[in-house]
Amino acid sequence: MNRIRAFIFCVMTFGLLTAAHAHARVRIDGDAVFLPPTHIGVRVMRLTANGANSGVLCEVSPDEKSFGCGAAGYPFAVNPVTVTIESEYLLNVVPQEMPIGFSVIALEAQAAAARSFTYWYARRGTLINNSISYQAFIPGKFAALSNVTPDHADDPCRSGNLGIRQAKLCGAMKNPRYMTRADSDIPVFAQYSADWPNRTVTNEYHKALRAVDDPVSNTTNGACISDGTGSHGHGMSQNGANRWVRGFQCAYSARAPWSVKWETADQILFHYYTGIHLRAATQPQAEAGFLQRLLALFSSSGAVKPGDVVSPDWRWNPLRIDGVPSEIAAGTPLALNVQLQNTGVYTWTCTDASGCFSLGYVWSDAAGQVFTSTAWASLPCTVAPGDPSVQTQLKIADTPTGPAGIYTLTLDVRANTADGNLVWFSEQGWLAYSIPITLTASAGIEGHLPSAGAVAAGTPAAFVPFVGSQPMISTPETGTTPETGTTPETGTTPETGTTPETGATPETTIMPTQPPALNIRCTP
Amino acid sequence: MNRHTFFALLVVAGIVVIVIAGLLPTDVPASDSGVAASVATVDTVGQGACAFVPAPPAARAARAARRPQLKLGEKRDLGWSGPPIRIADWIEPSSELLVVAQSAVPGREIVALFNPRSSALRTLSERTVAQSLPMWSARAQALDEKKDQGFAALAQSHDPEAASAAYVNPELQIAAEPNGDRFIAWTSFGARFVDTPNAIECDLVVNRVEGRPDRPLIDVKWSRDGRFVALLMLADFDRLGPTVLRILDVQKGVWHDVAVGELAVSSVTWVPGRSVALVTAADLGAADGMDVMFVVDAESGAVARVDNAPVLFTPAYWGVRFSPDGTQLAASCVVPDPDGVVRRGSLCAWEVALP
Repeated sequence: MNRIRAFIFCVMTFGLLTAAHAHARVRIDGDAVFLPPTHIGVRVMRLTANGANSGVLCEVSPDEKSFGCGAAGYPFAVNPVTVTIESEYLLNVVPQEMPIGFSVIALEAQAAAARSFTYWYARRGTLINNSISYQAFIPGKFAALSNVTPDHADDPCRSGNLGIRQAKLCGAMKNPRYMTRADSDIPVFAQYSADWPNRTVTNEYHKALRAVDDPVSNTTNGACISDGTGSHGHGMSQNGANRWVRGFQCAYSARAPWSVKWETADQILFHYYTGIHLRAATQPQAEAGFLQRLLALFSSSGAVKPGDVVSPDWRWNPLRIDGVPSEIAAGTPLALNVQLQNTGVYTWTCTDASGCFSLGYVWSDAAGQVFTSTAWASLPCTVAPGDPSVQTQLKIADTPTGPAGIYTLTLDVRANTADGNLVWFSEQGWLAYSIPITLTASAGIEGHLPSAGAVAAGTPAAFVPFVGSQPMISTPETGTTPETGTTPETGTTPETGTTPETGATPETTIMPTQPPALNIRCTP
Repeated sequence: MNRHTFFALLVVAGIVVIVIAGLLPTDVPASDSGVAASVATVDTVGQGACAFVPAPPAARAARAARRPQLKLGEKRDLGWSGPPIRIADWIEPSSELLVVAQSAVPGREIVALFNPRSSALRTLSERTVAQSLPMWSARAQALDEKKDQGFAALAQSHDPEAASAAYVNPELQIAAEPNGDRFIAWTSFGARFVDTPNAIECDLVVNRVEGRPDRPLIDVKWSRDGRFVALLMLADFDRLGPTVLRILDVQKGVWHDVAVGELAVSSVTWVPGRSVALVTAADLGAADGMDVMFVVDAESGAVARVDNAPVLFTPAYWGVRFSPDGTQLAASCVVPDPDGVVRRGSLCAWEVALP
């Protein structure tokens, strides 16, 4: 009897603590705090051949094999049904919405977009359906990626017998994140479309869905042309995502190389969605058991918890870089024409003509040693997040003079801070962009480095993805002359918005423009 | 169904159709569209790919000025109000609607004839629930599917009761030329073009895109004048939503794509006696599932919105069909409840004005 009482006491205490903790996280100064949901209700409908809602509910029967209800028959005991977002809903949505043959990085971006879109509806309490009016969800899609039945039915990605395509999808979903606007913890309405040429389309009801230049998706490259037929052009272009991470203008094949190739899903998401942050989503069961999740819930340590922001504020993406040879003679100057985008959450603002933000570079050799850079290209004094993209020319006169070999030219955006320091974005946790260039010996030039062994003042210690350390504030840069003549790109016409989601009202919150933490302000 | 099964089925279907076509009466006049000329456009007999090619851009541009027009009169009720009904066809000679209605038996549905004059619904047969609709041709060759009857069959009868006994494999669909001489057997994987009088078979590969997987076919419709075939396909393999509408000119052996603004085409219905198609299209950015009507000139690809047209809920599923003489248009005018579920429906029609 005492054991029973003790057990009941423990259960009640745990329940009260959990409720108290949940309450603490739900209410802060009267404002609701959004926490990633784990389940969503879905009305499963028979679908038309292109995934539209027929208006007819799938029958609750294993013999119900109408399109949309499940290739192996309707698998649930009820309809509508509540499903787990990660292991039941998204695991079937992602491969239905994006070809599984796409890059795993593109699939990861797709998963984040689909997850955000799902959370947006879950927060509103919407009972969604499985049609393309929301996201195509056909039960059994994940299972159909292989002939083998996963041995963990409840959480298929924990299975040890996954097929290659299933394992690829699970790899794309192993680090679940979702998008919110920078000034809010509410998930964004992360629309995406199959393809759209040149420039995506603004959805005027959602600030994250601004039109952005998408030059890798263009209409000039023969069989690879971007075709927006039947798409809406809002948010991420799925084919565009695969083009960016594969570095080709063809979404489906390695043809028509593009001058830029991205490395991460973050670059895709921050390119297509404006002024957003990524946040940690629900921990997948494969990585955190009940006890771990319970401990994480009460933990005040530095461990990332669901809902935590996991992206830096200051970000940029190169969209196009012209003038980069794969091979140059030692000492040959370069002039790069760079189209880039502010993908962060703050406007790049400055007050004087010399510019506060600029595009800089460093050279490094095969051993990883970094060498002096002596020039930069200043950027326009106001570069808003997302759009318009900026075009600038970066003149590089200090190309290494030898020895011959493979060098890396690393580009990064940097800022002159109010206290006179120079801060590179890669020091703040974002990615610099590296280009391998083969240096050949040049007649009459002795093999030596431009300033061998001298690490440039203001050069970041390492141009690698930032992982959690404190920002490094560099010493002021001196003695260089800024490039001039850069102008923001003009001439593109924003698309008009399309029909908003029923009941949606235009978002009114203003994007923050004053960075609170980094103290990046221009020298007067 | 894999590709091997598909092509095996195509062969079986071809044999069955050719045999039955040979038994059919020959009193049906051949179409006067000159389609026999298309024989020259098929490169090999019995094997290989059909020699259809993209229409030259210059030729398309020269014809682009032809702007099609289609106007609908006032909507009228056809006298059905109750459980929603899908329209498969508007058949001759009885001018009845071939429809599919819900069955009281789970997993089953009723194939029936609806008489607009009497508002009577007459059951022909019952079948397993299927996305594809039963078909009807000018020769009263009913094409339907029945579970576990593994191959295509055509019925030779003007009697709807007898015709209802004919079946086609649910995974294999057939788009037949109105006079019955030629047909396209297709699944989402591909299509086989069969010209029975000339003993020509070839793969219809117009859904192939260089450097990427074939586009899955989702609908194939042969125009009533026999000259054009509309092929509706998903824009990308393994991804729902966006579609591509490709018009094949069987007479000239060329094809071209039709874009309806930024919308996704969801269904195609040919206007009898005209080289004009009615297409419905939807905005994939909207969550309401409502489709808008457009008219397409098959020769030029020019598109215009239908005057006075209603907005319909998922007509690709519920059906939009012209009367055999092309003077009326019928649709299943279902309206979903706020939860997106269709619980009741009606049948409605409009007078059609084509300049």
